[in-house]
Parts: sequence; C-alpha cells; structure tokens
Amino acid sequence: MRRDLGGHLPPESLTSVDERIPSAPAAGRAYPEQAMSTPPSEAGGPTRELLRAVLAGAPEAVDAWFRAEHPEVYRLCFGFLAHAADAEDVAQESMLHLLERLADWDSARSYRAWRTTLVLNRCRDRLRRAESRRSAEEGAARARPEAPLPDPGDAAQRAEIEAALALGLRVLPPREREAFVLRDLQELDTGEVARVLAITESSVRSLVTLARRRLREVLGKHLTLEGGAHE
Amino acid sequence: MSDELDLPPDELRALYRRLQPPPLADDLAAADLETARVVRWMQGAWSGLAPRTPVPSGLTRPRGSVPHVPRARIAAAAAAVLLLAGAVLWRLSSTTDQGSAPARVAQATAGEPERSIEVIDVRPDQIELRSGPVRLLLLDPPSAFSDEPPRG
Repeated sequence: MRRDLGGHLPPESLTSVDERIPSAPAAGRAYPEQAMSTPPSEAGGPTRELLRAVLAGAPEAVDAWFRAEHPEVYRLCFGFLAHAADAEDVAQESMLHLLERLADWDSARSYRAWRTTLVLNRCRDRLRRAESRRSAEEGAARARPEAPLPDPGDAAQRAEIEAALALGLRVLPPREREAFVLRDLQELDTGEVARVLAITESSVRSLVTLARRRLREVLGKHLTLEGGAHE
Repeated sequence: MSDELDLPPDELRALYRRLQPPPLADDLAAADLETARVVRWMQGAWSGLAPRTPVPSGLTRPRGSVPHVPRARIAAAAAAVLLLAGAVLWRLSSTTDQGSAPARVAQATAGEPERSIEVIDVRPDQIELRSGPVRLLLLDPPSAFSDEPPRG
C-alpha cells in the first residue's frame, strides 16, 4: 500500500481496502451483504445525517459534532502518544484538521476508520517531532509503577489513573501501541485495525499479542483479582 | 537425564519440524486470566479519559456560511472594471485623428491668463495633453484579459 516518506497513511487508501464487498476477501473472509447497511465499526459514531449537516454548514450540527468527536479523538491521541499534554494539543489540531477535510470523506466508506487514520497520522507527526522527549520516554518505558493501580472507576483518582494508563502505554513500542489502542481500547475489529494501519490481520494479531504480554509483565502484579488496586 | 536428550538427531529434527506456535489470541477471552485483567483495567481507565480543555471557541463557525473569495480575485476584478471603464471613456473622449494638428480642447475665459488644455500628440496607443507646465500622457490600457495571474 502506498505510503509517503513520512510513514503517513493516505486516507484515500481506504478506497481500496474499505470496500464491504471486496473482489478478494481479506484473510479468506467475505463480508456478508447485510454488513453494507450497518457496518459495525460505525456503532456509536456520528450519524450520517449529522455529518451531512456538518458538511452543509449548520452551526448546531458542527457544534454537536465537535462535542461528540472531541473526547473520542482525545482518547485516540492519548493512546497513541501516551502523554496527556501532547494528547490535548494534537486532539485540538486534529479536530481542526478533520473539519477542514470532512468534505473529502466519502460517505460510502467508514467514517470512523477515515477519522482514525487522520488522527493517527497527526500523532505520528508529533512523535517524530518530539525527538527530545524520546529519550525521556525510553526511560519511562523502563519505569514500573510503584503504587498499586487505582480502581479505574474511582473518579477521585482520575489523575493517578491517567498517569498509570500513560505509563502502561509508554511501555509499548509505537507499532504495538497503535495496534493495542485500536484493537483493545478503541475496540475495532481486527480487519478494521488492519485497514487503518495498512497491515495484515496476522500482523495485527501479533502486535496485539506482544502488547498484551508486555502490559501483563509490567502491570499484572499491581492488580487484584477483581482488576482494581491491591488492598 | 531425560529421554529427550538421548534422541538421535533425525528424531530431534522431526520433533523440531512438528513444533507449532501457539495460536495468536485475537479474542481477549482466549487470553490468560492475568492478561485479561490487565487489559480490562486499561479499558476501564481508557473509557474515563476526557479532555481537560473545552472545545476551542471560534472553531464552530460553519463551513460555507460565508463564501470565501480570494482577495486577489476581487482586486483583479476591480482593476479589470476600472480599466475597461477608463478605456471606454478614453475612446469616447478621443476626438482627433492620428497626425492631425494639435487642437485646443478648452479655451480660457477672457481676462484670465490662458490655461487651455492642448492635445499635443495622438497616437494609436497614447495621447499626450498639456496644460501650462503640466503634461499628461494617457496610455492605451492593457488588455483586460491578461494571461498573467493577479499578483499579490
């Protein structure tokens, strides 16, 4: 698949890989006909009516789209960058970029995959530019949590939870992190992750397996059987 | 000492070729318990993530609500209109033929120093006027449909 020198994935690549009835089924699997009308990857995303209204320039629709998409985009950025402040910056940049490029989105294709690809490209740009932080991240990657992990449902420990999550994500090399974020956190199916990352489904499974193993080694001992903090 | 160490090389090679990697656990439910707990913890932490800063103000101006016309285009259109109007007016005001003698365009009133506007020269692409010490050279305007893109 075509890539530019910066490792960017062109959103247009979704033209060839996002068809619901491909001429050659990916990994021996053909999409059923009924998947055309309700692709599972669109669950929870903005409706097509909302997106059309945004494209038409309706102020209320643009506002609603922003408020719905901003948290999703922020979470993606947090996952890819493993850094809260960078995630804030890139998320806002990405929202502007998405609004500017929304006219380029083909409504026949998955909006979520298109959006994720654009956000991923911007995060990769930020990672490449953050050369000075790379050495710090490498040090952080070797760091291990000292305190038991807080209960993720405890709103009072939001900051500690985010810090632990970022630490866990920084343990992962970039490619594993991307695959893990999309597959296990964003909960895209393997096929869609493969399309977004422009790799095979087998590669996705390998990357996700590796990521899970690393996270288990780093975080596993700090969790109780119930998945929360140690008593 | 285990029996495996006493296997002849051929049998060891056969065992080696039959080795299969464990299937990659795509489904989290197929992963071991500890891995599943770690991933579920991260999923829980993930779902609670929210940006600290609100939606930036001024970014929700709807696209297309104000048509955007490049300034260069506006300037080029205005310049073309002015040039066309100037060319038309100039053609209408031009009354002498090429090569004719300079003609008085205006006559000073009696009692005042003579300050007439004289047509000094008329050519296909320019006309020269004079009023006292002032000379005015009117050039034929360039074509309004220039191939050059507007500057600036």
